[in-house]
Amino acid sequence: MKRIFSRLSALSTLEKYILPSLLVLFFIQFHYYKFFSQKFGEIAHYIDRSNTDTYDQIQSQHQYAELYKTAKTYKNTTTPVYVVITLHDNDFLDYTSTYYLKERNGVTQKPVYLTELEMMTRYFFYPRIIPTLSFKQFLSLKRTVGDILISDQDLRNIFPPTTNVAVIPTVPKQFISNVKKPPKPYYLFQVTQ
Amino acid sequence: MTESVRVVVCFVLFQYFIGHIFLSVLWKKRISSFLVYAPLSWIIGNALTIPILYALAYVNRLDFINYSTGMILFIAAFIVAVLVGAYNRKQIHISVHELILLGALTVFFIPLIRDSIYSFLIEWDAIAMWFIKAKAFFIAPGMHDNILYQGTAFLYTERSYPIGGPLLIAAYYRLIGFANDQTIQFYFLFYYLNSVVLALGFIYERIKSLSLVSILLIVLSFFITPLFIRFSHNGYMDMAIANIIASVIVLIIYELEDTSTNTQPYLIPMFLIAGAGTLIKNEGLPFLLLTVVIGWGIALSKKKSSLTIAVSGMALLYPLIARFMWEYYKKTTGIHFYLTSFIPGLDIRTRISLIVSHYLDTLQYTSTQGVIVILGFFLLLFLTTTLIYKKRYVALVPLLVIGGQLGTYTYLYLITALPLSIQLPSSFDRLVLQLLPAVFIVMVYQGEKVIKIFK
Repeated sequence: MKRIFSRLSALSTLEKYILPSLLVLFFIQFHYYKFFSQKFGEIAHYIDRSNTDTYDQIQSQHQYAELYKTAKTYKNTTTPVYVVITLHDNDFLDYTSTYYLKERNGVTQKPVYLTELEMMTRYFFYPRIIPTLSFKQFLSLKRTVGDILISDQDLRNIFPPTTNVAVIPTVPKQFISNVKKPPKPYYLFQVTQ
Repeated sequence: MTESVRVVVCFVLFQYFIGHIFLSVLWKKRISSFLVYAPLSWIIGNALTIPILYALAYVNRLDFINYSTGMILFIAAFIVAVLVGAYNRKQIHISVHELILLGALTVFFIPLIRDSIYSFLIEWDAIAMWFIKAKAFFIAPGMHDNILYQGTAFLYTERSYPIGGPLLIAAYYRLIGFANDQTIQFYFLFYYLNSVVLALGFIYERIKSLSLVSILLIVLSFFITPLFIRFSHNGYMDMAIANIIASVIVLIIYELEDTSTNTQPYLIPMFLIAGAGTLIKNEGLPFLLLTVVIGWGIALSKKKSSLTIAVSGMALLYPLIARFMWEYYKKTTGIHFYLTSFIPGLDIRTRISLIVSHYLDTLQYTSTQGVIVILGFFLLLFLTTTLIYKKRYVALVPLLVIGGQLGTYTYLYLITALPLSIQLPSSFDRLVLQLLPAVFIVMVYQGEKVIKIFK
């Protein structure tokens, strides 16, 4: 022990002057780190490690868990799946695609919006490509029984009364990621009639 | 421990092993401190692996990677690493103090390590750019017949960007036969952990007048800001670039201080590491250029440099061939890159004023960076001023890398074709992150010189 702390007993002049400031700085920084470290522990404790399917257990706490489960079920099937994006927000302007389209078309620039919902859908369903529909395209879509609709708003209010849809329920998540704001609400439907 | 966790641990160890094998051959006569040697081994392991993954992707043979081949390579690397370690026993210096520091760090970061294994992937760029490409390389055996690079459905993924990160992830997916985007975060956490250990080792090696407690307090205070914690294992590649820049700066300092004329032992790993940077992110390209200019510049200032330059130039080819493969592939498949002109346009003054405002805002943005960036900036300013007054110009060379890198970022913002008002706020905090570990190393290096001056 004496050897371990031997350098402490003979503090240099430099160290004597800076040590109090260092301690204060560390405790300020540690205050924020502690918040993260406590949050991090929560999800790790939640996992039942004796269960082999750890991946799905963790994924069930993902903000887009139901979208993930839907993708897992339908990505290797031929069931039609559509993403309906009705809201365009400049925060989600996809500058990469927009720029590419500008280059190809010369002067005209067509804004391309990439919402988090669409991005997550592409990711979970990869390599299957899910078509994105605007609200107008959605209204003229011929829906068939079994179709899956992923939407950024509650489409039940606008469905024609003849079409029946079942809501794929989403449950609130216990462990919201601590470094990211919660996602905007999204809705999953299956056409039943 | 589940199978996926076991494999990711082996994957991490594999990089240490091959980096260690490489360094022990190259640094036969050099005695290194363990806390600096280990993080350098890690990053060299990465630098050696990534170009091979590029080559496999180019010839569409990523299917070569599976659990069996992975285990064979791991066991072979382990045996060779133990043998060269036993042969060059005196090469690595491990003291009790160093082990205490490492142990303290490990205990401190347990929550982070645990979270890297047991958390889901959520952040924007990780999903939109890196992990979707990893899935693409998990499903397709390489660059060809790859759905992501055909058609316009995945334009938003920045397809022209280098694929080093996605290839590492895809290699892991292939090892376990499943796209587990959770456990692989453990691998990426090591870019962060190794940056911390490198900083710890460097300050321990340099500033002898500080006790272990002070060293730990300084390093942890610097590295536990929310900015670092967020990017330590969220699937972004910026921490990998930060690790690369810091490691190269350490090697530049070693090259600068070595009195012998042979600078090859530093130039070769330096070029491999900086070269790997170009295979991970585009920011790596100007950084490689800076590294080559400074590395060769130091070599030229010493006698008999022609052989050194020739040999290190050969080492430079290793990552560059991989980069050329990627560039050739992009050219033949018509993948677009978003810099159309290399000369700033007429809006240069507006752009400069926007960029300067963002630099100043970022400097004072304490909610994620804490006071670290402000403190670091003024301390660096003070140390640099002192060194200039005392005419210690050579000690300013490592600072050139940071200045040069900031200069290239500024230049790129001047010519970027993407809307500046979107790009600036979304990228600035990550530019800070990329440079922070390097800033720490330079501060310690300059600090050591200034302490000597005042003594």
